[in-house]
Amino acid sequence: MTTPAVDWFALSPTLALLAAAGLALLGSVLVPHRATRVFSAVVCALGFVGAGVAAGLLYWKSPNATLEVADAIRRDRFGALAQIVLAGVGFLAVGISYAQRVRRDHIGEYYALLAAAGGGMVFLVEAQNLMTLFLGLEWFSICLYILCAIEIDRVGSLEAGLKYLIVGSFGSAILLFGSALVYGATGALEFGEIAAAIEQGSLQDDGLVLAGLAMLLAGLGFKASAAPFHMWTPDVYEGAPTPVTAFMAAATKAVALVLTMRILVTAFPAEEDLWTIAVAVIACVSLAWGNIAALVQRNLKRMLAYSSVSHAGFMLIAIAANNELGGRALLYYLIPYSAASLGAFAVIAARERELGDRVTLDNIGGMGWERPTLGVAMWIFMLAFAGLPLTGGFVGKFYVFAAAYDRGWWWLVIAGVIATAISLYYYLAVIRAMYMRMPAELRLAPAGGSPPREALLSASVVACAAVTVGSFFLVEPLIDLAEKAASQLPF
Amino acid sequence: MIVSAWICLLSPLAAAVLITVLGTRISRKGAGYLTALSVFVSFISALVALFVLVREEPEERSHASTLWTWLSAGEFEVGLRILVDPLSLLMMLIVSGVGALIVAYSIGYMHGSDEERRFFAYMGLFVFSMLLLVQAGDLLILLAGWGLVGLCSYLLIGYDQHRPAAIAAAKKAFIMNAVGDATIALALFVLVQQVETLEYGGVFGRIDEVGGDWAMTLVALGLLGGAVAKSAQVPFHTWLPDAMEGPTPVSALIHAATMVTAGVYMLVRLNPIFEEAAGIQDLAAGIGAVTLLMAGLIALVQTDIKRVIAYSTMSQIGYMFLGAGLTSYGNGMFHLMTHAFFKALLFLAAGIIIHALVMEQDIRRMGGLRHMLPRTFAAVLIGGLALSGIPPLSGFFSKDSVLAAALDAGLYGQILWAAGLVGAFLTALYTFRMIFLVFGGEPSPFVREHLHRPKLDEPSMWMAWTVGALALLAVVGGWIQIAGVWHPLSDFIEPVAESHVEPTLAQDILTSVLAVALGLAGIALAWWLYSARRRAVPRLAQGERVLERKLFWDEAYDLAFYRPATWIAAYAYRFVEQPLIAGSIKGLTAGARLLSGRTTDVQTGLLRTYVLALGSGAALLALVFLAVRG
Amino acid sequence: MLDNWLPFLIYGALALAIPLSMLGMSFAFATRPSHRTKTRTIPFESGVSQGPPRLQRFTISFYLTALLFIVFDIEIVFLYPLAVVLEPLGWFAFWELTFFLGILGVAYVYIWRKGALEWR
Repeated sequence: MTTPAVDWFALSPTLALLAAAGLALLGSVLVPHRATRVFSAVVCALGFVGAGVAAGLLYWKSPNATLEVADAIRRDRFGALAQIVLAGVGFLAVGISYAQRVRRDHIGEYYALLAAAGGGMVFLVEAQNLMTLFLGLEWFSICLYILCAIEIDRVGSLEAGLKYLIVGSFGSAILLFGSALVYGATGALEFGEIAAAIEQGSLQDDGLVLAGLAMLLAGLGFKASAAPFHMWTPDVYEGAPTPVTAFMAAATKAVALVLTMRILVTAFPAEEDLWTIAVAVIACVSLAWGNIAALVQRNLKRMLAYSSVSHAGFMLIAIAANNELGGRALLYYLIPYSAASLGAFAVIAARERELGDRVTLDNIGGMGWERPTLGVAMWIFMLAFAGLPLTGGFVGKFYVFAAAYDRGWWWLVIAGVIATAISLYYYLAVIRAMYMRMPAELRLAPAGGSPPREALLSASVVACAAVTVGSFFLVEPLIDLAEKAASQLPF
Repeated sequence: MIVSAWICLLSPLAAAVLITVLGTRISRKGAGYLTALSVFVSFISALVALFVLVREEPEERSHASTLWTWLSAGEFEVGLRILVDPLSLLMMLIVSGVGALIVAYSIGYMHGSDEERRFFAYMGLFVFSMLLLVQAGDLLILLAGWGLVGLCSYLLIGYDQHRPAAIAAAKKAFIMNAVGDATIALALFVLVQQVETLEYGGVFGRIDEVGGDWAMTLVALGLLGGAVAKSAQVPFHTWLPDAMEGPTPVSALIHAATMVTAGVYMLVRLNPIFEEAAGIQDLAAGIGAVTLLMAGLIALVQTDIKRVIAYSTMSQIGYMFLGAGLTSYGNGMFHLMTHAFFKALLFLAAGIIIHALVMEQDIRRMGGLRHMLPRTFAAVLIGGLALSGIPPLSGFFSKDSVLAAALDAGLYGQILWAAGLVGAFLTALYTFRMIFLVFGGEPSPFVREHLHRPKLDEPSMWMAWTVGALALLAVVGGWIQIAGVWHPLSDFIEPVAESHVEPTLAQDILTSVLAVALGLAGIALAWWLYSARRRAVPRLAQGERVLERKLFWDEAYDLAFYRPATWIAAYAYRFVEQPLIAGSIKGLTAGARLLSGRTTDVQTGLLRTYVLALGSGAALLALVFLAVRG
Repeated sequence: MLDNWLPFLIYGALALAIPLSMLGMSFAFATRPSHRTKTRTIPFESGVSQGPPRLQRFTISFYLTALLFIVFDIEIVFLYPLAVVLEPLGWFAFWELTFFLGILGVAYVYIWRKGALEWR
């Protein structure tokens, strides 16, 4: 019996976050109560920094993709770049979370779970076989179930956690069933071997493979909250603590989409003609549903939840293109999108803490004048979502459309452009609400006076805004990074 | 040297950003000092760059630098690229030098007005935009600067947001300039399609590859459209007089010294393109001649002191167009420089008068100010003499060298030369009409009642010394280039824009004698009409009314564009908009709302619905896959 | 082709048959009052009245203890097979096990300090 060689370096981002999770957990019981918050937050942030640095080194030192640890993970730049983005998202999420009113006896657990969820995510983007795929998925999902419900004094939070748990289990079950069918048909777990087995055994028309592929798509589409698998998204996003929502909106989607691209491209090249169409259709449905449903939302978190559905649609266009340009587009798109959604939810969190109530288009009125920094940042995020120039969102959409066009699917480009036009309506509505209404119209008095301005939250928001705008001006180097990463996938 | 060029470019931007960010944490005066300092830093950096540049071989005096490349697709690169060569350096010096003086003047002029910070932030932004325009290393950045100065002009004309006239003037300026921006953009599209690059060197190097004359003509015409709009030449000139609604330092900086001369800069900078489309270049010269005559005539009857100077600006830019259009680039740039000095001087001095007369701008209500504001009188006199081309002031050298060059440029040039001489007469006439009406005679009742002499406090000192400095420049600025004797400025520009006309000494002397004689005649006539007989306007009966209506340009635009546009709009509204667009929009929004409502109906909040959607989605996907392949 | 479908068919048939038979049997064999009583309206008619909830109460500590037992029990389950193949796997297995126990240790310290091991 041989034991596998373990490439610790390839696992280092995961290990860093795992260690941070363990330390934060121990800290929650061993560190004096007064210092718990600082200790666990710092440990968690350091974990994300460590993961980011490790992922950066991994990117640098992996000019060629290799299979590691008994072919369970693939050490490549595609995964490493996604890990860098995830580490950045996690780091900023710590800053956004810091002033959240979490119960004192849950504060250590909060950061431990955040780090653990991050660990699962950075593990998952490297996954190269069906086992690690499922393991990573459950790893971060379970952490997120608890994080959603961590404000146990608030019914909404509990409801979100429970809904996410139940629907999520169902989604995982579908994914697992799909994996089982694929394994049953091909006898292989590793993505490359699955592709080879389908090729050699001429299993393209095999019912098990097809059903398995469909279920895998559905399961991953669920995590990416693509329509019609998105139904949980608005409820969970609304109910969960806002920093958790911010983290989920940015990170979960990134992980799910990166993995969708990886598995489809490496394991199912033989079914390409089927899944490209399927993904394109899912993308169109997501664009249509997300945008149309967002039009009537008054609650900002719900609106952004639907907006995240539509953005899943945009990124699925890049996957549907199934070419290297699409890979580049997806990886680039994630950067401004993650920054903008983190930042937007952070601004909502700030308002929420001010009002002690859920944030709607009505009670956000005047915020642009009261808090100019956050107001300007929200401008930037909304413009980035809408894909206007001077934000990375513009370049991201441009590359996504270019990828679809490159494949010859101009109809997909048209769908994307129409969706963008519709989305302007509700994104600009947020800005209008923030500026066009005078503070006098504010019907809700801030709860218990204006709370102190949170330096960490503002710093995180400013960092998000800087990334959103910076990714526009630094397109060239970022696209270069994404190009090197995408070229390691077998398109 | 490149570093100092970057400092020159970015320093005013830094000031503008800093003022914006600091908000009320910076005092009003602090904002003024900060902006003035930043522009002064720009000027020093430009000087440093100059000293480095002149020590190099003339052929090597061209340095491009790219701060970062934004996007590159093949050879077509988009990035922030600047080019430092003699031409851009000359413009940098003018913009930052005159700019620094005018911003320093504004510290005094704007003292006590509301929202000084906003003013200085805009001013900083403008100087940055103008420097970006002149330092641009490719046509795209040039267009960016072009658009930005238009924006700043809009913001500053409309600075006084409470006066509807200011807002209307700002809009007018912006719309007219937007037309010009659009024609430039169209020209650039054609250019990219033809030569696949917008970088100056690349474009000039491949100008021969452009297929077909039409393309070249189209490019040059589009560029000329932008130049004409920005420089307020016929037929896009009507915005400039209205732009005088802005604060006087703005008129001096943007609408006299720098921004409006951008068109001339473009003609010189892009000379290889215009020379390839010679017809368009001649057209530019012709437009210049028409404008200088027309503006000179209209200036004769204007009653607002700033509008008189504004028409004079149009007319003087006409001279520059004339020179640049006839390939006498060095002389055109020379006139641009001296004009910046004496026109800024006139505006700033006018600003002092307006300040002293509680914001009154009507010259018919002024008079006899020479005793009350003697120093201002001296400044205006220097500016007026320079403008009229009387030796040895700066205007004499630059205007005459432009005209002498025209004499050398064939028959067409000689016709324009004659027009230019008539213009010289008109210039002297309207300038001294203004001077005699404002300063000559006895103080009018209005002046007696309202004049308050400037106190010798700090704000006034800022205004005084900057005007003094500009007066000095208006006197000595022309000595840098004396026709037939020495011409370092033209030699300096030579590597970038080689002149094709070289007037002989005889032509120089002939032009100078005639121009000075006509100028003196103009002054004499002005004295006879306005000082000896003290009449507000010359009695020209019918012609006078035509001139007072500014040759009906506004009415013509009204008739040609506004009326038809409103007519079409009204009909379109009735027959297209109402039934088709509004109907469909209403339908669309109603439909979207309905759909949106449906989606929220589906969102029941019940877990079983969600799981059902998820499960049936997966099942549907699987069934479709199986059916397709089955 | 048919080979592929057969397992599906069998699976699908079973999946349909089981709940349908349960519904069908309760429909066929149950004796129901003809009018709608409270018992009839409960979701699944097992024929047995649900009755009032039991008054007996359990303290939450039982659940906690049960959970902790399962968690630690599972760890033991992992240890046995590893012990059997420890010889061929060698040090690799040892370190894997140590790593695993380390994570367990963290969890143990956590629940201990949280007070989950004390009977309250």
